Amino acid sequence: MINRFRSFTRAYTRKGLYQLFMVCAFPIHVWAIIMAFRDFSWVAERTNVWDAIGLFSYAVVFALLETSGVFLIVFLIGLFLPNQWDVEKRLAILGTLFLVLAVWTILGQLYSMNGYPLPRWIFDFLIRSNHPFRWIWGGVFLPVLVSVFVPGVFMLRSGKGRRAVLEVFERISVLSSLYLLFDVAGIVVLVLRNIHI
Amino acid sequence: MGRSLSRRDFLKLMASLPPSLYLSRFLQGPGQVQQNPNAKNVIIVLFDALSAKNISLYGYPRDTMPNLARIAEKGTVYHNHYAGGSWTTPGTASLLTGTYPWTHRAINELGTVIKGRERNNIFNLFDGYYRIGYSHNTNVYRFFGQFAPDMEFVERRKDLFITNKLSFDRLFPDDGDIAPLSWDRMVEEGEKGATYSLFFAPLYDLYRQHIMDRYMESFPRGIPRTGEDDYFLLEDGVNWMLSQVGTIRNPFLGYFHYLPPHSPYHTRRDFVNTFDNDGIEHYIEKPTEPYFGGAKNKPQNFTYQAKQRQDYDEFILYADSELGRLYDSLEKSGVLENTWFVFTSDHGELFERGVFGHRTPVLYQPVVNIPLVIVEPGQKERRNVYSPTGAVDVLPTLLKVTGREIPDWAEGEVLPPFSEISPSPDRSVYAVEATKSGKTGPLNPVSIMLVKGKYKLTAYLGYKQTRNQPVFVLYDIEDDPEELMDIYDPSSRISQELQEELLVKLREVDKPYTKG
Repeated sequence: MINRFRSFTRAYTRKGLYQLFMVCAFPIHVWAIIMAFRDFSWVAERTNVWDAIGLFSYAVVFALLETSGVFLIVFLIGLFLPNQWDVEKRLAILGTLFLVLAVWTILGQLYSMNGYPLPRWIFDFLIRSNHPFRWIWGGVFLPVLVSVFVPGVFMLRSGKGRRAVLEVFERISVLSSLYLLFDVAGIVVLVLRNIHI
Repeated sequence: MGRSLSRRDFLKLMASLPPSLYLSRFLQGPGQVQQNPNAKNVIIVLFDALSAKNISLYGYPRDTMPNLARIAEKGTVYHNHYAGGSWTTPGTASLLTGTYPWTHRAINELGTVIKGRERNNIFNLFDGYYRIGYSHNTNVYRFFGQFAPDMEFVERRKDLFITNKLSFDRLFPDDGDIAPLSWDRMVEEGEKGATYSLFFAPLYDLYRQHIMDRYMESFPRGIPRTGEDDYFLLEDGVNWMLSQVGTIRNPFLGYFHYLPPHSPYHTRRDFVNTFDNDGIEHYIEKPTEPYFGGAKNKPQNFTYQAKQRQDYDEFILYADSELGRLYDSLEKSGVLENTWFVFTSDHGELFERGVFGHRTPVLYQPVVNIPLVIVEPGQKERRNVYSPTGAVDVLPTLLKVTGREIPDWAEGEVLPPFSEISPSPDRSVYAVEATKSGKTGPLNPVSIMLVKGKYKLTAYLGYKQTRNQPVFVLYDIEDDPEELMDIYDPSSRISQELQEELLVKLREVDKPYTKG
């Protein structure tokens, strides 16, 4: 374990860590901002725009905290990857798998938010089968496995693919920098809302 | 503009609430406030959304509140008592300010008492008392925020919840209701189905589930919860109240606003299915409400209606059992020997005509007819009052019985039998629902109920469901308490008189808010 931590400098570069943080920040902030905007007018109509800005600020500041937590976990997982992997490979694998996980989480949220009903024939099939839960778990597990396995293998085997992904990460980092500005503004708003002058 | 200004003031007040209330607890020595050792305490216990039409004491065929019936044997029972509004904000404001919704103007979502009237409240009038409050209902906390300068202590709402130990209102106590709202939106999925947080929310949900699993055995239909998805036990609220009244200095005024039997109707295991197959499942089948009773292609379903009512009735049983425990403890400890005990509600609940709950424009009896029982210290026999009374009457009555002056702005009357004069048979009692009206504009759209003697006239004005046409319905609630026969007839004398009185009243109360 100690050796793993000693190899931290070999596992990551400063730029790599920055990009990994930004990749973590991206889906978390996109989702939080979309959701906060959905509630913005609801709050503004019932109270006022300053309160709606307050809600938005709590959302982005919480997203920043969540990003930090998630980044820490991803970072620690990265230390357990094989030492012989170079920084780029490590970054590409970690970032890609995190984004896949984030997409699945967003799909899960969208599903529970909109409650898309399953087609009738699926229910009929599950009822007819004597093991509906096996089928449900299997039905979920298979696409998740494929969505993790395919990009994972692709990242490991294809240098071209890795470079393409890292370029995408660079662009994501630029976009996420904008979200960090929102976070800073959010912190200022929270301070203003919570101090007495 | 006015709305925005009052909102800011409210938030400022909210911001100062927790520290000032907490500090006052420690700073206030027993000798600092002028005390009258002979003054009687006042305890107001309110169960949210409790309709008198579902209480056995008031003739409901199910024995839903045996403990209230027992308490009433030593109290005064008001049989024709009305809420000021059809939901918590206007109803509670009428009780606590002694004014109708057209005066206090706490009529909208997130509504508060209008600027300039915040000090016209029951706590302010009991100056010198130790004034304490608690509520499960977030709407009531907006009033507590406004009335904070007149209260010694308000228990924080979430302190008596079984979850939410991490919530934002603890981290940001100075940010009114936006911090807890943000927390709800970020991590508590609830009925909205989604959260702002992608990764922390599922973990928090697991943590909450772990806490709630401990209670699921006792609450097979789900643990009682608020509209904001905060889970609580009524037992905790009652225990806290008992611990307070036993230790705070006398005289005190306590306002304790408990959420049950407000929906969702999650009763305790002891009461689940108590009313199964009791032969009164459908009670009285009534025609579908023509304007607000759902779409025409969606006829009311009597079986569903009956199930909802049964769940509600069984939740009332749970609330009643805790009321009984609370009352017995107060009696045993001797507190009641020196205390006026008031039991009431803020509004009722409806399960008929294809309308459910209380967030509805209709003002049928189940929504507005609420219980009121007042137990005088040392009272041995039950008294019954059948004349119409309203929530606005509680404030002047409590002032009168505790020997305090009744302010001019109070719109209610001292209730019989505590008044020196008999109640006028011509007295009018009102209830108002105007959620969609502007806070500082004329009441429109609006539902107004006027009860006078045995008649009850309700006007529905400015609703798109009625195509903006005024609709009046009139019932003889003495001969037709279930409101089955609308006797409104524009050519009849009684219809004309009551309609004229109601419209004159509406013009009068709208006048300050009408341009030109």
